[in-house]
Amino acid sequence: MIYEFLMLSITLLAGVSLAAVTGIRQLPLLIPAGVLFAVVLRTASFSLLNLFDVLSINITVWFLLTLLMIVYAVIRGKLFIQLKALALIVPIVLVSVVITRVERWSSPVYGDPSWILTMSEMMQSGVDMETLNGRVSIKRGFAFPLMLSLGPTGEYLSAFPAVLFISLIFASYWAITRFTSRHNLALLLALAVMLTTPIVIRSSLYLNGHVLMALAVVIGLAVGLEAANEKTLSSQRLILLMVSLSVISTTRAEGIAVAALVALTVISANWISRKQIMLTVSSATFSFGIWLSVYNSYILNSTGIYWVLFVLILVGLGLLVAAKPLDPIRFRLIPLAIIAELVVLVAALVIFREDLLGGVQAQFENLVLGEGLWGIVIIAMPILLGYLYFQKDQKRLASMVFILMLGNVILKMVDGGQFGEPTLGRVGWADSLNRMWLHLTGVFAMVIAISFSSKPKINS
Amino acid sequence: MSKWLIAAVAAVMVIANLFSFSAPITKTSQPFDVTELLMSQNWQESAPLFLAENFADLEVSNVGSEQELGFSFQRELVSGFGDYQVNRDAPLDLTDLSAESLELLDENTKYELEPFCAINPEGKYCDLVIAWDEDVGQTASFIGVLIDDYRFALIERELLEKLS
Repeated sequence: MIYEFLMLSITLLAGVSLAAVTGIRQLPLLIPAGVLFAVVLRTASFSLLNLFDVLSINITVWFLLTLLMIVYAVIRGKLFIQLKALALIVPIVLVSVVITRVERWSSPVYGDPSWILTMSEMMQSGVDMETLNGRVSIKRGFAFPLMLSLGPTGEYLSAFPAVLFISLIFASYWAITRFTSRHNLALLLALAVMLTTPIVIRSSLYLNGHVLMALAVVIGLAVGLEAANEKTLSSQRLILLMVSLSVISTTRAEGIAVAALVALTVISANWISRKQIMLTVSSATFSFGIWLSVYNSYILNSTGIYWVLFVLILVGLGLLVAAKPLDPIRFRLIPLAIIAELVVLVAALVIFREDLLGGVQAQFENLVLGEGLWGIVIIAMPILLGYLYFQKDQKRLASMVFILMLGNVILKMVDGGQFGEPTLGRVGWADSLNRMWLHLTGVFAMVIAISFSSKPKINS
Repeated sequence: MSKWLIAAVAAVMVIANLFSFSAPITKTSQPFDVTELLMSQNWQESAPLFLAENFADLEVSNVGSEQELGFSFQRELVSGFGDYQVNRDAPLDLTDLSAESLELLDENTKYELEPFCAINPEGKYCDLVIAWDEDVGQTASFIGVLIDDYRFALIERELLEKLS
C-alpha cells in the first residue's frame, strides 16, 4: 500500500510539474493534464530504454526521471503550484489506494484485463518487447499496461484506474466550465446523470485503457473546441493537445483513428498555422509509430521496412494534411467526415447486412434494453446533439461528438473485419463497442451540461 | 431551458439510469500478484503461466492449433513467462483411455481451465486439465492429448507413460 501511494504520488506530481512548466495553472486541469504528461513521459522513457535494450532498469529509471521532473519544475519557479497540486494529489491517491488495496473493491478481471495484466507484468520485468508483436497484444494497447507495470514487483499498480477516474471527473468539470456560464447547476446535472450510469462506475476500477482514453479525448476535444472558438491556439494549448493526442494514439489500437477525429477540431480551421497542423498531426503519428516499433508489431513487419523509415513514412504521410493544395478539402473536413462516415456506415449495413444483423440486434439490447449498463445516456445523446446542433453556438461541438460516435461504430466494424467479416458485437456490457462508448464519458458529460445550460460561453 | 424543465429532464435521466443499475464494482479477495491473480481465476489463457510457475525447465508438445484440432496456448505468454520450447503438432488421441487411467489422471490433475478451441460445436471453449506425477522434479515435459470429444489434457511424460 505504501509503495503504491508513493509511486502514484511521485508519478502524478512529476506529470503535474511538467504541465505546470508549460504554463497550466488551474487545478481542475492541472491534475488530469498531469496524468497525461506522466503517461507520455512513461511511454517515451520506456521506448527509449527499449531502443538501447535496457528495459530491465525501466522502473529505476522511471523513479529517477520523475524526481528529475519535479526538481526541474522547482528550478523553473513552479514550487508554489506544485505544493498546491500536492494538496490535491495526496488525498486523490490516498482515496484510490484505500479503495483498491485496503477495501479491495474491483471490477471484473477476465478477458481483456487479464491480457493487459500479463503485458504489464512483462513490461515490469523487462521482457523483450518483440514478444508482443502479435494481434492480441496490439489490441490491448501500450500506455495503460505500461502505467500498471509501475506496481510492486510481480504486482500491478492497482490504484491507477481509480486515480484516472477521479482525474476524468476533474477534466470533465474543467471542460464544462470552459463552455457554460452556469457551472454549478450544469455540472451537478451532468455528474448526476453520468455517475448513475452503471458502466461508468464499473469503468472506474476496470483494468483497461478506456478511462485513460476518455481523459485524453475530453481534454483534447475541449482544447480544440476552445481554440476554434477563440480562433487561436496558444503554445500552452498546443502542447496540451499534442500530449492528449499522443496518449490517445498509444492507449488503444484504434487510438490513431480517434486522434485523427479529435484533431479535426483544429486542423480544419483556416486560422491555424501550417506548423501547428504539422505538430498536432505528428504528435499522434509519431507516438503510434514508436509504439508499433517497440512491439515490433506485425503491422510494421508486414511492410518489411526498417522501423525508423516506417516511423518517418507514417509521420510524413500525416504532414500531407498541412499541404497548401489540400486547403480547400482541409477547411471542409468536419462536414466531409460526417458524410464519409455516414456513407461507410450505410454501405456496410447494406453490403454486410447478414453479418451485421446480429450485431445490430445486440447493440439494441445493449443500448436500449439496458444490457450494456448505459442507462439512458446513449439513447439521449442523439436527441441532445440534435438540440445542440440547432443552437447557434454549439454546431461544432455537436458535429464533433457526432463524428466521434459514428467513428466508434465504424472502428468496431473494421476491428471485427480484421478477422473476417465486419461485426457489431454481442449482447452484454463487456462487448467491445459497448465499452468503446466509455471513451466519450467526459464528452457526454460536456454535452449534457451544455444542453442543460442556457448561457453558453461559446461564440463561434 | 427553464430551471424546472432542466431539473425534470435530468431527474428522468437519473431514474432511467438507475433502472439498469447492477453492482458495477464489488469487494473481492483477489491477489495483486499478476500470476497468482490470473491462476486463481482460471483464466482461459493461463496454462503457459501455470506451467512456468511450477517448473524451472520445461518442454511442451502437441498443443495443436486452436483454429483446428487443439487449444489456445499463446506464444506471447510462453515467451513472456517462461520462454520454453513448444511444439504445435496435433494432440495425441487418447479418447480410449480406460476408467482406471482416467481415475489416475483425475488424481494427478493440478489445474483445470477452459481455453479457446474450434472443435466444440456448443461454444468456443474446451476443457483442459494439466496433470503430472508427484515425483517429477523441476524439469518436465508435457504432451497435449485429446481425452474426450471436447476435452484436452496436458500430461507430463512420466504420468502419460503410466496412463497408456
